[in-house]
Amino acid sequence: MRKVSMKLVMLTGFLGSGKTSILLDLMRGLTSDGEHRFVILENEVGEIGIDGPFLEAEGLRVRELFSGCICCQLAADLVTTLHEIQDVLDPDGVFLEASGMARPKNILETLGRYCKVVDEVMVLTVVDAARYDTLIEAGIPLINLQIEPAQVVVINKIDLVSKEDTSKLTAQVARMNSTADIYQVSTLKGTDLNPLLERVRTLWT
Amino acid sequence: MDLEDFTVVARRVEPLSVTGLSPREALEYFLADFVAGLMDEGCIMIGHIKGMLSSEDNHLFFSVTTQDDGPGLHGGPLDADEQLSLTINVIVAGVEEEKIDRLFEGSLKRFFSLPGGG
Repeated sequence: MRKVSMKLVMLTGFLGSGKTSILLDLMRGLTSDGEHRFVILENEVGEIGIDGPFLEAEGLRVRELFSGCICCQLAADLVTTLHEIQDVLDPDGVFLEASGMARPKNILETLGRYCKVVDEVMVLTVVDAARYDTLIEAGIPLINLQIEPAQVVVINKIDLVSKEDTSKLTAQVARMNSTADIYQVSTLKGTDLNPLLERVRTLWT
Repeated sequence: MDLEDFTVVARRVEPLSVTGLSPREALEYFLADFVAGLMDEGCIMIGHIKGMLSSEDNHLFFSVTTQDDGPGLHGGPLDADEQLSLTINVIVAGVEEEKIDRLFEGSLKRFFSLPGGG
Protein backbone atom coordinates (compact mmCIF):
# COMPACT_ATOMS: atom_id res chain seq x y z
CA MET A 1 0.00 0.00 0.00
CA ARG A 2 1.30 3.43 -0.92
CA LYS A 3 2.54 5.51 2.01
CA VAL A 4 0.85 8.89 2.36
CA SER A 5 3.19 11.17 4.18
CA MET A 6 4.67 13.72 1.84
CA LYS A 7 4.29 17.37 2.66
CA LEU A 8 4.47 19.85 -0.15
CA VAL A 9 5.35 23.52 -0.22
CA MET A 10 4.11 25.14 -3.40
CA LEU A 11 6.03 28.28 -4.32
CA THR A 12 4.10 30.53 -6.62
CA GLY A 13 4.53 34.12 -7.74
CA PHE A 14 4.83 36.01 -10.96
CA LEU A 15 7.81 35.77 -13.31
CA GLY A 16 10.96 37.16 -11.79
CA SER A 17 9.54 37.68 -8.30
CA GLY A 18 12.40 35.73 -6.70
CA LYS A 19 10.87 32.29 -6.11
CA THR A 20 14.07 30.39 -6.87
CA SER A 21 16.17 32.63 -4.62
CA ILE A 22 13.74 32.18 -1.74
CA LEU A 23 13.65 28.45 -2.37
CA LEU A 24 17.43 28.30 -2.20
CA ASP A 25 17.46 30.25 1.08
CA LEU A 26 14.78 27.98 2.55
CA MET A 27 16.65 24.86 1.49
CA ARG A 28 19.89 26.08 3.06
CA GLY A 29 18.06 26.68 6.35
CA LEU A 30 15.93 23.56 6.37
CA THR A 31 18.66 21.09 5.45
CA SER A 32 21.35 22.50 7.73
CA ASP A 33 20.55 20.04 10.54
CA GLY A 34 20.51 17.03 8.18
CA GLU A 35 17.26 15.78 9.73
CA HIS A 36 15.00 16.07 6.72
CA ARG A 37 15.33 15.09 3.09
CA PHE A 38 13.71 17.26 0.48
CA VAL A 39 13.21 17.10 -3.24
CA ILE A 40 12.64 20.14 -5.39
CA LEU A 41 10.29 19.97 -8.34
CA GLU A 42 10.88 22.77 -10.81
CA ASN A 43 8.37 23.91 -13.39
CA GLU A 44 9.26 26.36 -16.13
CA VAL A 45 7.32 27.43 -19.20
CA GLY A 46 10.48 27.73 -21.28
CA GLU A 47 11.67 24.79 -23.34
CA ILE A 48 14.95 24.64 -21.45
CA GLY A 49 15.20 24.39 -17.67
CA ILE A 50 17.41 27.01 -16.01
CA ASP A 51 16.40 26.84 -12.35
CA GLY A 52 17.08 23.10 -12.15
CA PRO A 53 20.80 23.43 -12.96
CA PHE A 54 20.95 26.52 -10.72
CA LEU A 55 19.68 24.58 -7.70
CA GLU A 56 21.63 21.43 -8.56
CA ALA A 57 24.78 23.56 -8.58
CA GLU A 58 23.98 24.20 -4.90
CA GLY A 59 23.89 20.45 -4.22
CA LEU A 60 20.11 20.07 -4.11
CA ARG A 61 18.02 17.24 -5.53
CA VAL A 62 15.88 18.55 -8.35
CA ARG A 63 13.34 17.15 -10.78
CA GLU A 64 12.19 19.30 -13.67
CA LEU A 65 9.01 19.78 -15.61
CA PHE A 66 9.48 22.35 -18.32
CA SER A 67 8.06 23.46 -21.64
CA GLY A 68 4.64 24.12 -20.13
CA CYS A 69 2.78 25.05 -17.00
CA ILE A 70 1.74 22.52 -14.33
CA CYS A 71 -1.53 24.33 -13.71
CA CYS A 72 -2.73 23.38 -17.18
CA GLN A 73 -0.65 21.61 -19.88
CA LEU A 74 1.52 19.59 -17.51
CA ALA A 75 -1.01 18.76 -14.79
CA ALA A 76 -0.85 15.02 -15.52
CA ASP A 77 2.95 15.10 -15.56
CA LEU A 78 2.88 16.77 -12.16
CA VAL A 79 0.85 13.94 -10.65
CA THR A 80 3.01 11.24 -12.25
CA THR A 81 6.21 12.92 -11.12
CA LEU A 82 5.03 13.35 -7.52
CA HIS A 83 4.08 9.66 -7.33
CA GLU A 84 7.46 8.74 -8.76
CA ILE A 85 9.25 10.99 -6.24
CA GLN A 86 7.37 9.31 -3.41
CA ASP A 87 8.05 5.80 -4.71
CA VAL A 88 11.71 6.25 -5.56
CA LEU A 89 13.03 8.93 -3.21
CA ASP A 90 10.53 8.90 -0.35
CA PRO A 91 11.46 12.40 0.89
CA ASP A 92 10.02 14.18 3.93
CA GLY A 93 8.91 16.98 1.71
CA VAL A 94 8.70 18.36 -1.78
CA PHE A 95 9.20 21.99 -2.71
CA LEU A 96 7.29 22.61 -5.89
CA GLU A 97 8.30 25.79 -7.69
CA ALA A 98 5.48 26.59 -10.06
CA SER A 99 6.09 28.58 -13.20
CA GLY A 100 5.56 32.31 -12.90
CA MET A 101 2.43 31.95 -15.02
CA ALA A 102 0.76 29.30 -12.87
CA ARG A 103 -2.59 29.63 -11.17
CA PRO A 104 -2.15 27.97 -7.77
CA LYS A 105 -5.85 27.14 -7.37
CA ASN A 106 -5.65 24.91 -10.47
CA ILE A 107 -2.64 23.10 -9.02
CA LEU A 108 -4.39 22.64 -5.69
CA GLU A 109 -7.36 21.10 -7.51
CA THR A 110 -5.08 18.70 -9.37
CA LEU A 111 -3.31 17.69 -6.17
CA GLY A 112 -6.57 17.26 -4.27
CA ARG A 113 -8.19 15.11 -6.91
CA TYR A 114 -5.37 12.97 -8.24
CA CYS A 115 -2.35 13.09 -5.99
CA LYS A 116 -2.92 10.98 -2.91
CA VAL A 117 0.74 10.82 -1.90
CA VAL A 118 0.66 14.41 -0.65
CA ASP A 119 -1.05 14.84 2.70
CA GLU A 120 -0.44 18.52 3.38
CA VAL A 121 0.17 21.53 1.15
CA MET A 122 1.45 24.97 2.06
CA VAL A 123 1.02 27.61 -0.63
CA LEU A 124 3.78 30.19 -0.42
CA THR A 125 3.37 33.11 -2.80
CA VAL A 126 6.20 35.47 -3.60
CA VAL A 127 5.31 39.07 -4.46
CA ASP A 128 7.77 41.38 -6.16
CA ALA A 129 7.61 44.61 -4.16
CA ALA A 130 9.44 46.52 -6.88
CA ARG A 131 7.10 45.49 -9.69
CA TYR A 132 3.73 44.93 -8.01
CA ASP A 133 2.21 48.27 -9.01
CA THR A 134 3.51 47.98 -12.58
CA LEU A 135 2.05 44.50 -12.97
CA ILE A 136 -1.31 45.53 -11.55
CA GLU A 137 -1.37 48.64 -13.76
CA ALA A 138 -0.60 46.41 -16.74
CA GLY A 139 -3.78 44.52 -15.89
CA ILE A 140 -2.36 41.13 -15.04
CA PRO A 141 -5.04 39.59 -12.79
CA LEU A 142 -2.84 36.56 -12.18
CA ILE A 143 -0.89 38.52 -9.57
CA ASN A 144 -3.87 38.63 -7.24
CA LEU A 145 -4.96 35.08 -8.13
CA GLN A 146 -1.57 33.94 -6.87
CA ILE A 147 -1.97 35.79 -3.57
CA GLU A 148 -5.52 34.71 -2.72
CA PRO A 149 -5.00 30.99 -1.92
CA ALA A 150 -1.68 31.41 -0.07
CA GLN A 151 -1.05 30.49 3.55
CA VAL A 152 2.21 32.42 3.37
CA VAL A 153 2.92 35.53 1.31
CA VAL A 154 6.49 36.70 0.97
CA ILE A 155 6.96 40.29 -0.15
CA ASN A 156 10.41 40.17 -1.72
CA LYS A 157 12.84 42.86 -2.92
CA ILE A 158 11.99 45.27 -0.11
CA ASP A 159 15.48 46.69 -0.54
CA LEU A 160 14.26 48.27 -3.80
CA VAL A 161 11.29 50.16 -2.34
CA SER A 162 10.67 52.55 0.54
CA LYS A 163 9.42 51.40 3.94
CA GLU A 164 6.18 53.27 3.26
CA ASP A 165 5.63 51.43 -0.01
CA THR A 166 6.39 48.10 1.67
CA SER A 167 3.84 48.85 4.39
CA LYS A 168 1.28 49.92 1.81
CA LEU A 169 1.78 46.73 -0.19
CA THR A 170 1.61 44.60 2.96
CA ALA A 171 -1.73 46.17 3.85
CA GLN A 172 -2.98 45.61 0.31
CA VAL A 173 -1.98 41.94 0.42
CA ALA A 174 -3.64 41.56 3.83
CA ARG A 175 -6.88 42.94 2.41
CA MET A 176 -6.74 40.39 -0.41
CA ASN A 177 -5.90 37.48 1.86
CA SER A 178 -6.67 38.11 5.51
CA THR A 179 -5.57 34.66 6.72
CA ALA A 180 -2.10 34.55 5.19
CA ASP A 181 1.04 35.15 7.20
CA ILE A 182 2.93 37.94 5.45
CA TYR A 183 6.70 38.31 5.49
CA GLN A 184 8.80 41.14 4.09
CA VAL A 185 12.21 40.04 2.89
CA SER A 186 15.08 40.83 0.60
CA THR A 187 16.76 37.71 -0.71
CA LEU A 188 19.42 39.88 -2.32
CA LYS A 189 20.41 41.44 1.01
CA GLY A 190 19.53 38.36 3.05
CA THR A 191 17.37 40.39 5.39
CA ASP A 192 14.59 39.07 7.61
CA LEU A 193 14.59 35.51 6.29
CA ASN A 194 14.59 33.67 9.64
CA PRO A 195 10.93 34.25 10.58
CA LEU A 196 9.92 32.93 7.16
CA LEU A 197 12.16 29.91 7.59
CA GLU A 198 10.61 29.15 10.98
CA ARG A 199 7.11 29.46 9.51
CA VAL A 200 7.90 26.95 6.77
CA ARG A 201 9.59 24.66 9.27
CA THR A 202 6.29 24.32 11.17
CA LEU A 203 5.14 21.99 8.41
CA TRP A 204 7.57 19.35 9.77
CA THR A 205 7.08 19.91 13.50
CA MET B 1 -2.57 42.56 -20.71
CA ASP B 2 -3.07 38.83 -20.67
CA LEU B 3 -0.62 35.95 -20.29
CA GLU B 4 -1.20 35.14 -23.96
CA ASP B 5 0.53 38.44 -24.76
CA PHE B 6 3.84 37.03 -23.57
CA THR B 7 6.21 35.36 -26.00
CA VAL B 8 8.33 32.51 -24.64
CA VAL B 9 11.60 31.76 -26.38
CA ALA B 10 14.33 29.38 -25.25
CA ARG B 11 17.72 29.09 -26.96
CA ARG B 12 20.99 27.33 -26.33
CA VAL B 13 24.12 28.32 -28.26
CA GLU B 14 27.49 26.59 -28.17
CA PRO B 15 30.37 26.75 -28.55
CA LEU B 16 31.04 30.40 -27.78
CA SER B 17 34.19 32.24 -26.84
CA VAL B 18 35.10 35.77 -25.80
CA THR B 19 37.90 38.03 -26.96
CA GLY B 20 39.15 41.07 -25.06
CA LEU B 21 36.47 40.82 -22.39
CA SER B 22 35.92 38.52 -19.45
CA PRO B 23 32.97 36.13 -19.87
CA ARG B 24 31.14 38.05 -17.15
CA GLU B 25 31.67 41.38 -18.91
CA ALA B 26 30.63 39.92 -22.25
CA LEU B 27 27.47 38.56 -20.65
CA GLU B 28 26.62 41.89 -19.03
CA TYR B 29 27.16 43.81 -22.29
CA PHE B 30 25.20 41.21 -24.24
CA LEU B 31 22.24 41.41 -21.86
CA ALA B 32 22.20 45.21 -21.81
CA ASP B 33 22.30 45.29 -25.63
CA PHE B 34 19.67 42.58 -26.03
CA VAL B 35 17.27 44.18 -23.53
CA ALA B 36 17.74 47.64 -25.11
CA GLY B 37 16.91 46.07 -28.48
CA LEU B 38 13.77 44.47 -27.07
CA MET B 39 12.60 47.80 -25.66
CA ASP B 40 13.29 49.53 -29.01
CA GLU B 41 11.16 46.88 -30.72
CA GLY B 42 8.18 47.69 -28.49
CA CYS B 43 8.58 45.37 -25.54
CA ILE B 44 5.75 46.26 -23.15
CA MET B 45 7.04 44.18 -20.29
CA ILE B 46 9.93 41.91 -19.45
CA GLY B 47 8.37 38.89 -17.76
CA HIS B 48 11.73 37.28 -17.06
CA ILE B 49 14.92 36.80 -19.00
CA LYS B 50 17.08 34.21 -17.32
CA GLY B 51 19.72 31.75 -18.23
CA MET B 52 23.28 30.64 -17.76
CA LEU B 53 26.64 31.09 -19.36
CA SER B 54 28.45 27.81 -18.83
CA SER B 55 31.87 26.29 -19.16
CA GLU B 56 32.56 22.60 -18.73
CA ASP B 57 32.81 22.95 -14.96
CA ASN B 58 30.95 26.07 -14.01
CA HIS B 59 27.85 28.17 -14.58
CA LEU B 60 27.25 31.90 -14.35
CA PHE B 61 23.49 32.34 -13.89
CA PHE B 62 21.69 35.54 -14.83
CA SER B 63 18.26 37.04 -14.31
CA VAL B 64 16.74 40.21 -15.75
CA THR B 65 13.31 41.67 -14.98
CA THR B 66 13.79 45.33 -15.84
CA GLN B 67 15.86 47.40 -18.22
CA ASP B 68 16.75 49.87 -15.48
CA ASP B 69 18.67 47.58 -13.18
CA GLY B 70 21.56 45.43 -14.29
CA PRO B 71 21.18 41.67 -14.38
CA GLY B 72 21.27 39.60 -11.23
CA LEU B 73 24.32 37.35 -11.53
CA HIS B 74 25.18 34.30 -9.49
CA GLY B 75 27.89 31.70 -9.80
CA GLY B 76 31.01 31.48 -11.91
CA PRO B 77 33.82 32.31 -12.27
CA LEU B 78 34.42 31.46 -15.92
CA ASP B 79 37.82 31.75 -17.58
CA ALA B 80 38.19 33.78 -20.77
CA ASP B 81 40.03 30.96 -22.54
CA GLU B 82 37.29 28.38 -21.90
CA GLN B 83 34.78 27.26 -24.46
CA LEU B 84 31.36 28.45 -23.35
CA SER B 85 27.68 27.80 -23.95
CA LEU B 86 24.79 30.19 -23.44
CA THR B 87 21.34 29.02 -22.41
CA ILE B 88 18.55 31.57 -22.23
CA ASN B 89 14.82 31.68 -21.55
CA VAL B 90 13.11 34.84 -22.68
CA ILE B 91 9.56 35.70 -21.60
CA VAL B 92 8.51 39.14 -22.78
CA ALA B 93 5.33 40.89 -23.87
CA GLY B 94 5.02 42.90 -27.04
CA VAL B 95 7.75 41.38 -29.21
CA GLU B 96 7.32 38.49 -31.64
CA GLU B 97 9.51 35.41 -31.63
CA GLU B 98 11.17 36.26 -34.97
CA LYS B 99 12.24 39.67 -33.70
CA ILE B 100 13.48 38.21 -30.43
CA ASP B 101 15.59 35.73 -32.40
CA ARG B 102 17.04 38.45 -34.61
CA LEU B 103 17.90 40.66 -31.64
CA PHE B 104 19.36 37.74 -29.73
CA GLU B 105 21.62 36.72 -32.60
CA GLY B 106 22.71 40.30 -33.23
CA SER B 107 23.61 40.96 -29.59
CA LEU B 108 25.33 37.62 -29.27
CA LYS B 109 27.58 38.31 -32.25
CA ARG B 110 28.55 41.70 -30.88
CA PHE B 111 30.02 40.34 -27.67
CA PHE B 112 30.83 36.68 -28.29
CA SER B 113 32.69 34.81 -31.00
CA LEU B 114 30.77 32.03 -32.67
CA PRO B 115 32.14 29.26 -34.85
CA GLY B 116 32.47 30.29 -38.49
CA GLY B 117 33.57 33.82 -37.65
CA GLY B 118 30.22 35.01 -36.30
